[in-house]
Amino acid sequence: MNQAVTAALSSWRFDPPLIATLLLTTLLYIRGWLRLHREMPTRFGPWHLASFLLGESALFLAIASPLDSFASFLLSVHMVQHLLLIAVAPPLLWLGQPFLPLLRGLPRPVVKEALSPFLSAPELRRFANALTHPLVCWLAGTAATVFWHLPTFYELGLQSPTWHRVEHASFLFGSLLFWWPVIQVWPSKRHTSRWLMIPYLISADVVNSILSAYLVFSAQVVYPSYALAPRLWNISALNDQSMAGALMWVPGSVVYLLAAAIITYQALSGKPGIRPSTLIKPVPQFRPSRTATVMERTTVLSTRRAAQITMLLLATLIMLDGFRGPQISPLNLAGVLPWTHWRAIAIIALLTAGNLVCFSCPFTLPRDIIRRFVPQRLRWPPSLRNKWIPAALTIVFLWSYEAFSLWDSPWWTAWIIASYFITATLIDTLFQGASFCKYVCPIGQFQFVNSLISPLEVTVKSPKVCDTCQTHDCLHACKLDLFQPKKSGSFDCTFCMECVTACPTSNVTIAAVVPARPTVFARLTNRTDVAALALLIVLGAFLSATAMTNPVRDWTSDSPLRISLIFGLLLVPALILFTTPHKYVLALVPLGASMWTAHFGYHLLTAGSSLVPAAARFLGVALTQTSGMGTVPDWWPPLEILLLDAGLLLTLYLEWRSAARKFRPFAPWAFLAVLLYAAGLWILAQPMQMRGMVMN
Amino acid sequence: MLRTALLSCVFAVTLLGDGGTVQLQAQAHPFVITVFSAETSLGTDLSILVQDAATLAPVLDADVSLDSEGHQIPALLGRGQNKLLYSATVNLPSSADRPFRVRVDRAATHVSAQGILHFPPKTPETTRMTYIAIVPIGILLFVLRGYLVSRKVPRRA
Repeated sequence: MNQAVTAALSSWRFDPPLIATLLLTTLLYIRGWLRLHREMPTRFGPWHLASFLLGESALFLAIASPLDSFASFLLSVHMVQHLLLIAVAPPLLWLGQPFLPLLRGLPRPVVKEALSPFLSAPELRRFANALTHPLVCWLAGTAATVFWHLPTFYELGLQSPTWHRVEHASFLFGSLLFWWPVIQVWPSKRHTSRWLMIPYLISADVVNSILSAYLVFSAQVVYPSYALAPRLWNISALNDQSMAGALMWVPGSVVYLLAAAIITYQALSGKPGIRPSTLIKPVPQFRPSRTATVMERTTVLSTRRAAQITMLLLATLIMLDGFRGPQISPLNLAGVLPWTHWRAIAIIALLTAGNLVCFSCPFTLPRDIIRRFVPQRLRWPPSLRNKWIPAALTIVFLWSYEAFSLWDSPWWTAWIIASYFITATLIDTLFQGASFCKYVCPIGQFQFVNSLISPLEVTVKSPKVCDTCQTHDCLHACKLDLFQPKKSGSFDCTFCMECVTACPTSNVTIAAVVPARPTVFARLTNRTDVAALALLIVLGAFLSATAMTNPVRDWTSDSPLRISLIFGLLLVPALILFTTPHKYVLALVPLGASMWTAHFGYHLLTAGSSLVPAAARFLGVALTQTSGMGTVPDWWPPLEILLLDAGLLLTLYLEWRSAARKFRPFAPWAFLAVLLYAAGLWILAQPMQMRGMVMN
Repeated sequence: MLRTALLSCVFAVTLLGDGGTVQLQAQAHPFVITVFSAETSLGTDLSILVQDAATLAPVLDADVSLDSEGHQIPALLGRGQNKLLYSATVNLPSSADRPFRVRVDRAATHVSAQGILHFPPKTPETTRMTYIAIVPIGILLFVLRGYLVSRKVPRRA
C-alpha cells in the first residue's frame, strides 16, 4: 500500500478520556445485558447487544478515527463523520435498548442513591415526555442538521475546536432525539400512531436532500475554508464538495427510507406486542463446585507468589544497578523504575482495582521463607500498635525526598530498598503477625489510606454463612488481625488472600464495591493516629507536587532549609487534629488521592519512555535514538482536572455526610477542600520540572 | 492544474487542521509547504504538511525543521494525530509576530519557505473552564437530588 495512504489510515486519535468513557459504557451495558438476558432472553437478545456495540463503534469511528484527522482537509471526509454521528450511531445505540442494561449494569447503591430520585421525579418525567414528543424530536434532529450546515456556522465549527465539539454534540444529541420515536426505545411512552413515523422520516429526508443537492450542484465552494485547505491528492475543492453532497444524499436517504420501509412492514404485518412478564424465566442460582473453589484458591495463591517473585527480581535488578551502575538517574534503573513507573502504576492500580502493591509486595517474601524455619515468639508492643511510627516515617521520607533529591540518586534509592528488605525481614522474624506491614511500613500505610476509595475489596460473599461459622479461620489466618465479617473497607488489608484460602466455605472473595462508602470512613473516626496519617498523606500530595513546580523549585534552589520551611506545613495536621473531629479529616482522602494520581501520572507520561535507555544501558544494548520524552499529550491536562474534580466532589460528599447533612459544621471543611482544589489547579497549571528524563 | 502555485504566504487563514490555523502556504519547488499552528495547554503546536508540487501527494521522507530567531527546531513525522504532518511544539509568548523559516531536505533537494508566525492575543482557555465547571454542576445535581429525596419523606404533623 502507498506510504501516504498507510500513514493516513494510521492517523487515529489516542484519546484516553474518550476511550475510557466508551469502554466503561460498554462494560456497564454488557454487565446489565448479561443479567437481563438471563431473565428476558427475547427482549434482550444477542441482536440488542450487537446493535449497541456497533453503535459505540460507529461513535468511536466518527470521533477518533482518521476521519477526524482529515475532516478539515476534505469536506467529503467531514461529511462521512457527520453521517456516522447523525444516521448510524444513534439508531444503532437505541436498537440496543440501552436504558435497562445500563441501569442494571451500574452498582445497585449508585442507582438507588444517585439516580433513583431523578428517575422517579414527576417533573423530570414530564420534561422527558415533552422532550421525546415526536414534534420536538423531529425539530431537534433536523434543526441541528440544517443549522450547522449553514456556511456561517459550519465555518465557526472549522475555526474553533470548542465550537467543533459543540457541533458534533448537537448532531449526536439532536439525532438521538430524532431516532427516539422511530425506534421506540423501551420503556418509552408512545405518543402517536406508528404510521405517523413514515411522514416523520420522509420529511426529514426531504430536508436532507435539499441540503445535499445544494452541495452537489453548487458552482462555487460553499465553505471558504475548504477552498484554502491544502488539496490532498489533487482532489479539487469543488469535486470534494460534490462528493460530500452525494454522500449526504444517497447513504443519508437510504437510512431514512429503510427505516420508513421497516416501520411500514411492521405496521402492515400487525405483530402483537410482547408482554415482558411472559418472557421472564427463573434464574438458576449459581453454586460454585468444590473443584471450582479449589482452583480459585490455587490460582489466587500462585498469582500472588508470581507477582511477588517478579517484584523481587525487579527490586534486585534495581538495587544492583543503583549500587553499581552510573549515578545518572535517567540512565539507571534505580532512578527510573521506582520513581517514575512503580509509584504511578501503584496509585492507578489502587484507584481502579485495589491494593495490588501490598498484594505483590516483595519485601514480605523473604519473611515468609524465613518463617518456615524460625518461629516468632514476640508480640508487637501494645504501645506501638498504632500509626504514629509510619506517620513519622512518612514525614521524614517526604522531606528527604525533596531535600536530598532522592529521585536523582540511584545509590540512595538502592539503599532505601535494601533497608526496606532488612527492616521488614528483621521485624517480622522477631515479631508475630505482619507487624511491619501494619505498624511500620509507610508504603503500606499510603496504600491503606488511599484504598478507602478503592473499587475492589476482600470481603465475604454472604454474611449469613459467616453467622453460622464457629471456627473463624479467616481471623486466625490474617496476619493483620482482620476478621472478615466485621471488616468494612480495605484499611489495613494487604490483599494477601490468606483469608480467601483459609475460609472452609469459600465465603471470602475479592468483590467490586462502591468506592468511598461513608460507612468505611465512619469506622476509623475514633483513631487519631489514622487521622494524622491521612492528613499527612493528603497534605503531602499537594506539597510534594508544589515542590515540583518551577516557581517553587526556583525559590528553594535545592536549599534544604527552604524545603524544610515548605514541608514544615506538614505540622499543620497537629493543629487541626487536636481541635476537630477526625471524621472531617478522613473525608479529605479522595482529594489527596486525586492529587497524587495527577502528580505521578504526569511523571509517568513525561518520563515513562526513559525506561528504554535505562534498560538498554543495563543490558548493554546500543540505542540509536531516544525520542518522545518530555512531551505531555494534549489529553492529559484535562484528565488531571477531571481527577481533581472527582476528588473534590467525593470529598465534599463525605464531608457533608460527616457533618450529618448540616451546613454549619460542613462549611469550614468544604472551604478547606475547595482551597486545596484551587491549589491543585494552580500547581497543575505551572511549568513542571521534567524529572528522570534524558533530553536526547 | 496546480492552483497552489498561485498561493504564497497566505497568513493567518483560520482553518482547523490537525495542526490548527494555517500560518503559511507556499510553493518551494518541488514542494508545496503548509504550516499550521495550534495553541495547546503545553505551548504552540506547529504542524507542517509537505506535498509534492506535481501530484500534491504528501511527502513523508523529508527532514523538516523550523528556524525562528536563531533557534532550529526539528519537526518530526507521526507525533500528532495526523500522521501526514510533521510537528514540533514551541513555547511562544501570546500576541506575537515572529519571522520563521521552514527548511525541507529530501535527498539532494534542499528548499525553504519563510513567513511570519502570527499569534492573536490568547483568549481565555475554555477547555480548562469546561472541566472546572463539572464541580458546580455536580454540586447542583447533588442539591437537586437532596431536594427530591426530602420531598418524598412525609412531613410530621
